[in-house]
Amino acid sequence: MGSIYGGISMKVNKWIVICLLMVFFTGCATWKPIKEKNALWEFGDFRARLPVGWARTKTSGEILLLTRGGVYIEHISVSRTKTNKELPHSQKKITEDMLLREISQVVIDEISLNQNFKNFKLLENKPVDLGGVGAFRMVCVFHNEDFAKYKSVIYGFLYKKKYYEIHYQALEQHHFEKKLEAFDQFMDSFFFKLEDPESVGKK
Amino acid sequence: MIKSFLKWTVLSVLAVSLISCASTNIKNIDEQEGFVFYQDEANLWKQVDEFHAVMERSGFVYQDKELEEYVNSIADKMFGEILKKYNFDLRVYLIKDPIFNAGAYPNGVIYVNTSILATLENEAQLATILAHEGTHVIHRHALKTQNFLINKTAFYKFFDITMAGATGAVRGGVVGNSLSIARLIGGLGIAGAIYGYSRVLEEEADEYAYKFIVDAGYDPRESKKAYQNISTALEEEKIKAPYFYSTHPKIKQRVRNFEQYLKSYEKENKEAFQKVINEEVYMGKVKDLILENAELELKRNKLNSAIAQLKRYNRYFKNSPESYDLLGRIYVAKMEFKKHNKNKDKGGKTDDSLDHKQAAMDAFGQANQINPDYPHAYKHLGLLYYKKGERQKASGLFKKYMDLNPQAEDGEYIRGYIHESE
Amino acid sequence: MKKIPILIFLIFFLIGCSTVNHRTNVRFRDYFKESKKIAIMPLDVKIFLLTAGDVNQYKDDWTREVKGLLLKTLQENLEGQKMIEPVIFDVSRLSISEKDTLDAQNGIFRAVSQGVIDHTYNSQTLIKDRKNNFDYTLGAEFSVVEKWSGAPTAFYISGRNYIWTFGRSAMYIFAMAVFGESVVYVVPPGNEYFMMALVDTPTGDIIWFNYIPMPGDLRDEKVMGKIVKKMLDDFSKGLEEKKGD
Repeated sequence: MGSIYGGISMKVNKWIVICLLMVFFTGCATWKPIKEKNALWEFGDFRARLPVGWARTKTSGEILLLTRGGVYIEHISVSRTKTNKELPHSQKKITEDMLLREISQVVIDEISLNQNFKNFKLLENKPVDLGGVGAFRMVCVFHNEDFAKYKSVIYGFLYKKKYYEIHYQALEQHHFEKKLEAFDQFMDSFFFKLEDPESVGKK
Repeated sequence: MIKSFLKWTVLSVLAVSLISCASTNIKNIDEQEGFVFYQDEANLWKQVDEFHAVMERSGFVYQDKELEEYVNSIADKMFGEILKKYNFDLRVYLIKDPIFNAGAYPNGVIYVNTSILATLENEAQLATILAHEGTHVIHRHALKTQNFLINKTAFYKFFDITMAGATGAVRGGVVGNSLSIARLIGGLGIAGAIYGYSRVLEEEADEYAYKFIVDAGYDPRESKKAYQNISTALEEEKIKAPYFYSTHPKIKQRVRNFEQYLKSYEKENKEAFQKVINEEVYMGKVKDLILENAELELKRNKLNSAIAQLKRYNRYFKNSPESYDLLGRIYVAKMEFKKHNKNKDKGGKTDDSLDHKQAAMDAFGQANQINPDYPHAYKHLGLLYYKKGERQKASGLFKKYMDLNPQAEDGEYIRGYIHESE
Repeated sequence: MKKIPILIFLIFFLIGCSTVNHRTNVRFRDYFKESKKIAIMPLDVKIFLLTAGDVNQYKDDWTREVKGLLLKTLQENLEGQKMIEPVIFDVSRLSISEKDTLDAQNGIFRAVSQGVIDHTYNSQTLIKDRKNNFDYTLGAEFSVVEKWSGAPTAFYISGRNYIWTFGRSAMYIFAMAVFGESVVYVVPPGNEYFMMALVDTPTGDIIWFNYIPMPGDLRDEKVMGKIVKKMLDDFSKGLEEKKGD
């Protein structure tokens, strides 16, 4: 029957094949479900509690992307971009010396010039304190190309020379209000480990 | 082996080129006995009809019925007879967009962006643009271009695959011309309307546009000026956009074409030069549009265009605090641009010699002088002082703004700045 | 000894491999206790011609043909379904603002159905909990459809075909010779699918959902017949299975 090694490797090979086949047929999901109640997301100086029953992933544009049933239904995202980078539609830049109000205006311009956001309407734009860091909070609505209406809550702030956005977006019909609590809990738990208070943005 | 591979490639390319050879022998609408669809034209119309239905509800159509009727009456002057004879409809819509563009779709819909109207000076110049676009419709350029481009993309695709195969390129490397063109056609009839047609078809559109303008009684000298104005605006901004009216060489070509037509017809058509321009009527109709478009230009960072448009607006409509307030905001934006783009000399003519801060303050001051109860100029002037660290001056102006506008949407920001200043 | 791993493999394969392809809400079990009127919503079917150079040409004539064929096939297959009384949803009776509202509801359905496809069908983006506890909904605002149709259930049918030209087929063969198995990235097929869904109009809950990628040429009566029959057989099987629970 061959050497001991040969015998062991035959046994191991069988299980490797079975496991590989299992993985193949059950699929390699890139979305990880959030099952624990106090599951924590950590990224650099940020922490936040993740909503149970949702699923998480990461993309090239977002450092965190959460959804319950599908990103076209609802999602929470955290994104980060460099400052001084020209934006595609407004061709404006978010710079470190900008007031929050000015940054929010650039964001509004960027969205309203994008023809993918039809019937864009700003409902609210105000300054808020986000764990000691000045941020703007904006609420808007728009239609997609199928005329489904979406509602968005956007928090934006500067931190350590980068611009961050925390975005909650959902179909306005039924889903926005239903999942808002999960977003509010995420935001309530959002905090910074402020080692360097000088690095925060201006109000 | 290489020889046989090459032989096979050439044969395949030829075969596919022949197989996908769609007809390009298409008559103009006014060359047929009555209006009849060509094969695939109905499909093209259907796709464009759906596109238009979405645009109508998108919030991007400029809502001013009176202005829309006025613009359509200009198109009617030029195309009315043809449209009646061939039972065909042509309708112009204005699109809220600061990018220079206009486009004609195969189903007779013409879109003109507000930036074009805000840049033109009179009715004759607008007639030039509409005549050019209307010719694209009547001469079925979208359908002719679609068939031509289908053949072209097939050829390019084979070429790309062959080259990738010959060089051993991996799968991600086969993009090339075919895919980029195909992506443009993705929306069919729509692509040509936005990006323009071939040089031959564009020149055909110019030639017929000139005839339509003259026949409708417009001063043809304004046709060259229409494109010259757009050309100047493009030079000022150095905007890079792939659209027909935002591509400088294409606009320069239009200027050259109309120059040529003017010379050729000068001797025979001297009376034409005494004809209609309608500057005052035009400016009266586009008054609100110019202000709203300047706001869009500011959003889009097209600052030089916005300033030019507002200066023209202020020459015509002297007592508008909104206009001066907007002008002030634009000068503030220029100041910021200069600050963050010190080493850039590709930003176009930014009139570096001008003190933008002072120009902004003057503009805000002018707005307050025209109407001391106009609140926004106080706020914008206050923000200027606030960012410069002159908090006390800023605070006074912010308080004035809040007194005049207690329900201000940005009240929380402003109250925060007042609180900080104190 | 060799039979054991094969057996284990088969067990795992079969566990993950349902006899039906649909997804059902927990309400499906009792939903069709009595026969229900279902309103067949305007068919969302589009047929395109995909050329050698990757150009998508919308074909309205083919689309109309396929819609006609689909309605005929549905009628034939639904005749045997005891728990369903199909009616056609008549859009022409609606006012302009009602049509806008219906468009919005249809848009919401498309957004929600994309979530169903992404997270309960696509193995790369599967969220098991969504598949096993299927609770997708459009929301109670969808009840306007009940008001307009008089039906407690809406039946959505959607499909896309990208019919290749002869030139494209020739190019595929040529590209296969050059690229081998990577040919699908160079000459991609187009996002073809066929989908059916039943939505409870008072609540907007998706009660039953079925989806097949790459269904085949929908202009072909045999292909259409096979697809529609397969989907509706799934529906019947599902009803039988739930009754047995």
